[in-house]
Amino acid sequence: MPDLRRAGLVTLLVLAAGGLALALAPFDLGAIRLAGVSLLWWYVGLIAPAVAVALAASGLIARGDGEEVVPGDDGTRRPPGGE
Amino acid sequence: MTSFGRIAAWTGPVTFVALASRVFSGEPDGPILVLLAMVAPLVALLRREDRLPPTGATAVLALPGLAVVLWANVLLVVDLGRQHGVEPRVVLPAIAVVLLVPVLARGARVPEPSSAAAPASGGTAIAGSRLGAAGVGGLVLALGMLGASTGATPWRAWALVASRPALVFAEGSVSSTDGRRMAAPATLTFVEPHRVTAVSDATVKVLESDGGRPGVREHTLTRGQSVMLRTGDRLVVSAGTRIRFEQGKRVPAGVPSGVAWADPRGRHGARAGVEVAGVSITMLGAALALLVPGKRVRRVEAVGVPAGAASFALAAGAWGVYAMYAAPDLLVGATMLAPLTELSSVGGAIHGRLIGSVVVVALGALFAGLGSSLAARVIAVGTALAPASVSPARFAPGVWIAICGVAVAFGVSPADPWRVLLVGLGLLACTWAAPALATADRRAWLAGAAAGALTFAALALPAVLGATASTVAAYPALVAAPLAWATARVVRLGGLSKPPKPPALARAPGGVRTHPRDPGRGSTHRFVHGD
Repeated sequence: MPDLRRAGLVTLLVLAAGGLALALAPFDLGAIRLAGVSLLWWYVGLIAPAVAVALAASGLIARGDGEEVVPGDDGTRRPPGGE
Repeated sequence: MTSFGRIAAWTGPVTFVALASRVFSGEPDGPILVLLAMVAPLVALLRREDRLPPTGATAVLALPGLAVVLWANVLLVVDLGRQHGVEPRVVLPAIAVVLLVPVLARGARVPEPSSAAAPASGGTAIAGSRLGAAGVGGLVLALGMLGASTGATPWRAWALVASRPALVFAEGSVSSTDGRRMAAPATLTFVEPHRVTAVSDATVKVLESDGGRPGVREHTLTRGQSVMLRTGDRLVVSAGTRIRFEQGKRVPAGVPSGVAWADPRGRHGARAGVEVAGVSITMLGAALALLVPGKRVRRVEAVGVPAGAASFALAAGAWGVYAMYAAPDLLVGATMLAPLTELSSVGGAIHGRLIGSVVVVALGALFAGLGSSLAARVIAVGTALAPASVSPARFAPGVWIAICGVAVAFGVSPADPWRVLLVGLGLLACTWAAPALATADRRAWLAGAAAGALTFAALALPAVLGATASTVAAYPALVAAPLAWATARVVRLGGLSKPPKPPALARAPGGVRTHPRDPGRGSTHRFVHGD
């Protein structure tokens, strides 16, 4: 399922970009406090980790469910049973 | 490579300490660094595999980045030893043993050059996996002990610090009782009258600001003597000086209040944007170069490795918050290690020492894990450098030994480990990740890597020589990595590179050369794992 992995990859990059945008946003958007903590830190400390771990885990599992690749005896990589 | 070994090259001690230190001291990029330290390795794990195995030329361009990353971590371990009274002449041989013994004693399964995109696995990688995981686990444990001592969750501690109108020397803080020893030369600016007392004999310089007329007074203080400073005065103290501050007075550091710490001014504006872009390219690019994509992992690993990466970054950030909550006075003459190693006053001396011990052991495990993981990466790349007359399996460990030798030899230099790490990460982004993203063509890759390396060196040199402190000089990858990518694309699209050589044959069991996808064919092309 390479599509799931690729979607996870893109979403991770969007996740990183979201944090950067929040940090640089005008009107101190990232400094707005929710329950005493700034929006930026809620994003970095809670939202981003939860989403990132879920995405990465899904992507890795999807990759694992896909085509298995094993190293050949000369170092080339091939699908099992492909000899 | 198994489980945590996939990211052990990323979770080095310098990264953890720098994240904690920058969050602690309220640097504008603190939260961004935590975010990038968490997301970058996950991006690297999910990407497709390197499409081109290193050649001798690309290995020559890529290895310096790996060497500089190792050197940065060696510098930090030497600093850690110094803080605990262990001389570099003892620490450096120990570092050499930690880095070399796993490779020499257990050996690493060295791949053939054609498969150098895959890391060497075997003993070193397994060791790196276990040690890296143990290091992260130890730091999370120490963080839990710290949280129990302070009695606050990280978010509660953050909220309490962020609402402080001023950062002051707390009652019973070490700086206002036993005195604080300056680990490095420092210039302290006082924003209110403050009496400073020498705990040991010291010579200090006071830069007065009396009605706009600057003046300099030098004081030779014996133990117990004080010097009175007025608003706006600056105190210059040398390394090793131990002085005591007044309880309840403002900490003479760059951060005046909790509000300023929570939302530093430098976080906004064009310069901040350029810096954020620079650090983002540097860290994302370096992660692509340092880490090997995950493939065929068990479900428990698929969850555990990303969770480990997130725990590493979040623990560093939380540590910085706790340090500011418990001991803002550590800002005075702060070294990078201060928030981790000087929290002994928190929760009582015994508890503080226990936390300190766990931190030292955990950082040591992180270093050993990073060393094992880097060794696997260097050996994988180093095989491409082996001359025809020498077996790659014998040659590649020699490359690792040489890199370790250089890193240890320069381990006592006065360089800042964080700046050195950024140079190493930036180099990797320019000479490895950027051209690899642009093309799988060998010559185009090499042209891009060479352009990136030269540009990086030209931009970084003024900063190394101390001539400039511009943002581009601080993050040369900001310019060099896109240039490396563009050069590789132009060379490939412009047809400047020769067509690829006929592919090598894959040898099937039994010695018959076959096509990997079509066993009936008598020739083959190399199977490249990717999309």
